[in-house]
Amino acid sequence: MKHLTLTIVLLFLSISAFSQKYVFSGKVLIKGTNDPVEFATVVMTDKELWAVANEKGEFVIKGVSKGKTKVEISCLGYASRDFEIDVTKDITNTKFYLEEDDLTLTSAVVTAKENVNSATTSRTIDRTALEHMQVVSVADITSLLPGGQSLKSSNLTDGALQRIEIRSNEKSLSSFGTAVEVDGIRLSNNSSFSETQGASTKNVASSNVESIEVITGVPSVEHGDMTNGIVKINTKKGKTPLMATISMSPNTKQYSISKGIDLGGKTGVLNISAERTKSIAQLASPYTTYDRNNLSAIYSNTFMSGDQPVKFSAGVTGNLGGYNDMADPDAFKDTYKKVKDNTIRGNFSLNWLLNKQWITNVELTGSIVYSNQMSTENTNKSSAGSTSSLHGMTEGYFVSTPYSVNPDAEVILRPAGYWYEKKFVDNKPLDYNIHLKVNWAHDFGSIINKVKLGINYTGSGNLGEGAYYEDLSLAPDWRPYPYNEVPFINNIAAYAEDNITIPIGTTSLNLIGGIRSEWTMINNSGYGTVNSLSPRFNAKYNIFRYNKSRVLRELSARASWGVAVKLPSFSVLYPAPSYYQVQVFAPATTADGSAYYAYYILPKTIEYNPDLRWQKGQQSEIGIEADVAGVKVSLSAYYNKTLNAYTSLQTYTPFTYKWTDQRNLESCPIPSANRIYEIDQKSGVVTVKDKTGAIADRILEYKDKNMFVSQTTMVNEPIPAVRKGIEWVIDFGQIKPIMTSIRIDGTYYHYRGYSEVINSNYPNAVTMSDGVTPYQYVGYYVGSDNMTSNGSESARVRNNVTFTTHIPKARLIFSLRVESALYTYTHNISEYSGGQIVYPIGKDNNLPIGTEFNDIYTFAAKYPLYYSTFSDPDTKIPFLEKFIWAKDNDPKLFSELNQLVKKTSSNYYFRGNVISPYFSASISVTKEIGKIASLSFYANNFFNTTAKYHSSQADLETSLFYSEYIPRFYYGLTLRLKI
Amino acid sequence: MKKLLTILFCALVALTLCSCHKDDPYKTYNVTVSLEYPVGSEFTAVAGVTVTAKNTTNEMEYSSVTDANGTAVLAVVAGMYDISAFETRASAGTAVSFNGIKSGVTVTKDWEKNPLPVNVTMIESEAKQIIIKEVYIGGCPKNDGSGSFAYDKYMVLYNNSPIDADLKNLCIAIPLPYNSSGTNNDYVNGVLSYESQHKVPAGHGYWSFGTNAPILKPYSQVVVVIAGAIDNTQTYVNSVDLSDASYYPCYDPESGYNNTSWYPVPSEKIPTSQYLKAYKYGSGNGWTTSVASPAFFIFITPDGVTPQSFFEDTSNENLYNNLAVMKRKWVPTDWVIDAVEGFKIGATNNQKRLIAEVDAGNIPFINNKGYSIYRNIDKAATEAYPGNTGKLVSGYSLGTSDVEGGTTDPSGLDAEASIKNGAVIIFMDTNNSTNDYHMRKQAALRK
Repeated sequence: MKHLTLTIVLLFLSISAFSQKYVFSGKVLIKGTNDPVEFATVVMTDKELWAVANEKGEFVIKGVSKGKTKVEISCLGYASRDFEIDVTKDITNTKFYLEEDDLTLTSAVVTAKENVNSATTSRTIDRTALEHMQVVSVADITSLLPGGQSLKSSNLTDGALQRIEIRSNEKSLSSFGTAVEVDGIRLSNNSSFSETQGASTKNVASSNVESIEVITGVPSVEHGDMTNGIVKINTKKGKTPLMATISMSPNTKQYSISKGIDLGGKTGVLNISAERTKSIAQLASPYTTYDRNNLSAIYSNTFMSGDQPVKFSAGVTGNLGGYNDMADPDAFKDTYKKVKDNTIRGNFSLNWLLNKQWITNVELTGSIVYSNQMSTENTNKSSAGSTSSLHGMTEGYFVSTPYSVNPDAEVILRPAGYWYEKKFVDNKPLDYNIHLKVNWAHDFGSIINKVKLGINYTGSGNLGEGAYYEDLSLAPDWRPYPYNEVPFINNIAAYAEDNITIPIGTTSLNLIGGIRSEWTMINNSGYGTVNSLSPRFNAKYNIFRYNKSRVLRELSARASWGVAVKLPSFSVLYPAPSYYQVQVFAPATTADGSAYYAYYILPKTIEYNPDLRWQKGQQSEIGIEADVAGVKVSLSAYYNKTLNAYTSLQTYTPFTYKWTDQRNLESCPIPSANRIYEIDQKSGVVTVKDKTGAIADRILEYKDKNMFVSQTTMVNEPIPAVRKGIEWVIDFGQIKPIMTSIRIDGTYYHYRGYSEVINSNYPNAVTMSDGVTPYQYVGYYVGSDNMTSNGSESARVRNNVTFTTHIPKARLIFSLRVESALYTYTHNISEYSGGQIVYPIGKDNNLPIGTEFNDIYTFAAKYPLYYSTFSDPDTKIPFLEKFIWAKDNDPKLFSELNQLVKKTSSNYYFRGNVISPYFSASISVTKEIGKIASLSFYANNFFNTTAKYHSSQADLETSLFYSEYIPRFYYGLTLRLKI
Repeated sequence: MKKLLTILFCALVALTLCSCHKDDPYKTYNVTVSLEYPVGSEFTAVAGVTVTAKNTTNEMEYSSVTDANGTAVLAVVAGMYDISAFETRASAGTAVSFNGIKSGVTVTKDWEKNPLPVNVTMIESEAKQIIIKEVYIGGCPKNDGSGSFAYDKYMVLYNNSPIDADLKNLCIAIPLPYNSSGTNNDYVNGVLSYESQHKVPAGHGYWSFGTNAPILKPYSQVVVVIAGAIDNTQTYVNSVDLSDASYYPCYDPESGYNNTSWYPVPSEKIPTSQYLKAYKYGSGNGWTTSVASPAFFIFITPDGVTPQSFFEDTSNENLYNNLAVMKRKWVPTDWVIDAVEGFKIGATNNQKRLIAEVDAGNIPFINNKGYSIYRNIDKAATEAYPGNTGKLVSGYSLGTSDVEGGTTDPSGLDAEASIKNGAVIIFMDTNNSTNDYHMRKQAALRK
């Protein structure tokens, strides 16, 4: 064995040491004019070698090892070329021609292109497609994915539409798991305190996007902090003429200008772009707006250091804008809401081609994103009597005190009258990232091997002050929670990946294996440092290389498996502290309208969960790509599990406070006008004092009140949510006589998820059967404590057909896209490994009348597994057994326990809901006017269908018009000029 | 040419005749209504009772009078109707009212071929001592124009009899569903499921005077403050000062009705002994009275039953739509002494929540304007009352015009001005809100 190992090592060393090196050089020219294409990038992808063409279009790549490699030549404004060469000797003085990227090209496409060279599912949407669909928000591109649906509207004021979700249909957490990057800068929402959702893409200038790559399969281990895939947005970089764009739709207007300036000599290129986009919420009242004012400057250059070029790029992008309804004349005087969406993103990247024996190139990238998302809301308020605002953060009993007397009082007495309440939420996320990656490409004979090693450091924090009020004397209940005092999350990831391509006869096998290890450091918190591992594997087998003479011209198959970790957001790690507060005394309202209420305040400390594990996505995928007689087919099937999903857990503990009845004041001899109310912070005893001192203090009697208080902890869901599906794209190519191509894309998607977390619930708004005693029981439920179901199942089949007519001579491209939802299914489910938790119930009471409740018309109830009492909180009493017993033996208990039963609001709640098929159609047309202008028009849901859909759950028929299922009818026009 | 013109003329006539095949929307159909009086009652059918059919969509009304057999024929256009009748008769010095309503009678173009008999069951009721004189519930405009203020709510109970009335065990309740418009799942085939069960649902909770209940002198009143027992006019000039020492506030934070917007601690002028006690079984921290279509009923628990024991009795519980948050209790109709039901003006789907046995009519109402629902005066009885001569003030001008034809007190007398003038007012009490109430432009307690 030792000898074998030694032999292999020596063999490798010998191959390395004595392998022959060659030169690959040539010129990149414009087809037709033979003018040089300066800044064209030539990449030998299998060897990780590259060069940038000079002002004469010349490029040189030295030290090229023997063997086959793919070559890609690209430059902004030109159609990219890729081909394969077999390096067996020096290849010099070769000329490569690029064509200008416009509609005269027969290869222009307006749909998402499959990245056939990728070992996982990946698609690219290029500028032609983006311009044709007139993207206002980059989130619009999800409609171009298989089975994608046009967005409901082109309205940027609707924040919910601006998040990207991949291979999911459930809100919030799925967008949270989808990563979005702009030029390598991650748009993170981790430091949000108010939501656990993916980052909004509203402030990304869509007019400056050159291409978008969407990886829906298992990505490389260099990508972390995501579970549902990654969207990589590339902005324009390179020399361009001055370009101006005007885009109009009923809700949105966009103006942009950009230019890639050649700084002359060898000083590089500076891309500058500016965009202004304004969206209005409603056409009838165009005063609620979202503004995007984006300015971007990106410098790029290639420096030569001997034979080792360094490609450098640095950019800064800023946005000023946000949501504002201040101008709305329908709003009451001086009431408004504004939310800033100001951001500045800076980044650099440095790619140094060393081309050494044991290292090919080094990439260093860094970015920093600082945003100001300050919201300001001014609302008018009024009250007939004084009100109490609770600001106290310490435990105890407190009487309300006028702000003028004690501005630091725990309970502030706000006088009666009219006032404005101006609230600010200062939210300033800061994210930074530095990433060092080393690539080593080496051929072992005909085997191509590429190794990737990297280390990535990221940090997220928030520099905002959190929520506060302009005038504390008029503020409602409030406690400071400065975001900037919350520790940053820092994450170090190290990864290694090997990518090996093995030729097997005329076929080849590509294997990628990698592992990513992360250490997440949350200083000064209960979490400390958390480690997680993400192994990922991809395999692709090119069974048939392209051969036009066969019916099955090309065929490849691939499989992937991987784990990805999503870091928690601040809303998970640091939920805002909450306070339990209860009114304990209420002396009568005085003549000036003041009521000196007393409260008990109990701070609820943040419950760190030391056992909290990071949410993981486990992705499995298989796929094939084939070319059958010119029809390109791409099929993917996936099975994704979300493990350890974050969920909140409520726990209740018994709690007793002292309650002083106002009636105890009736016999108080101190005149009302002279009374001073004091309450002992610890004991809760109320003392009435005489301002004049003439009458002795009067201590009021009290009684104890027993109830429960809650505590929230974030925990992991033990049951994985499963998403599985099939995606298909069938591209029939162009039917030459009518210059029309047909593409069918679609998806089958299925989701099933439920919770087995045992959550408790205490109905604090009800009393015991005497009508006075606070409720004394806590119920323990499987899953959600406020819903009858504990999960859901959904499925859908969507299929789109796109007809694209492209007439290169006329510089015209027209597309008609018919979107169909053939099957849409949702079902509330109740599932628990410990037995049945939901039963059908009759009309008379909440007792079970059987066991079947699914897919039939019946009211149903979820019972707690057990309940506990105030007097004996540790004993958990089986609920249903006691409830049934109480029906005949203890009517009062039966009535009281009834409060813990969670019933369905309808008799069809547990019926599956199948929505009948529905359709919509959209058109887009783009026409170039010479080389200087192009015009695009689109109309989504242009039939503005008013057909009805059938919903099987309640057997209802409803109009699709303005429904949640179909896009609104909207349209837009864009004019682009090149000067 | 002549032939051509003849053919053309014939064609035009044919076309015109064809066009006449359309249904005539103004065609009327005869609906025969029979009034059925209680078996065993001393009263039977008489001629001259007015029967009214009210179109539930456009609110058009059609009337006719009965013959000696208690049958009336109404000519109505096609549509859905609520058909009602009302009459009062005297018996040994006591006014006896008969109310009847049949909801959801649908008259179609096939009515001529298949006319259906419409029998309206007349419910007998005697006038009770305590009546709801006024309900102010809908709120008023704020000073700054920023909306309305509706945390000022009150009800005036009135002793409409010549003998003292004890309010002990008197409870104030609301039906559920809370609003007259919107879906009402109690309707089965157009009829309230409890229509013939001699019970009405008390939703969410009810209030009682408890142990310190006042004794109401004849023709005197007590103000029950439903919300906001403070001087609301200090902030809202269009509101009502509800801090008077004589008022009885609904205030019982221990019950769970502890929302301080609804229930600011009452004015120091009001003794705590006057606080009403709440019996709460619904969810939330406020008694969910409707502001746009208020309905209330008052009941007195009989001997052997107290408001507390009724509350603790779980056998009378019911869940509206089977929802725990919609708990209600069945109150026998013979406990109910008065009721009022408002319908939301502008809504086309108003439906009764109270059965005819309790209240057979409705009073159109609109909120946010400072209006109240105010009782009409029994003019004949009031004018006949000894000592009222010269004290009654006529020229009442506080009716409203928000519904077609307006609503006002048909007596033309100003009850509040007359009372101030020393008169004794006897109010209408026919167990029919349509007859008994009008919408008043200004709450009577507003200064």
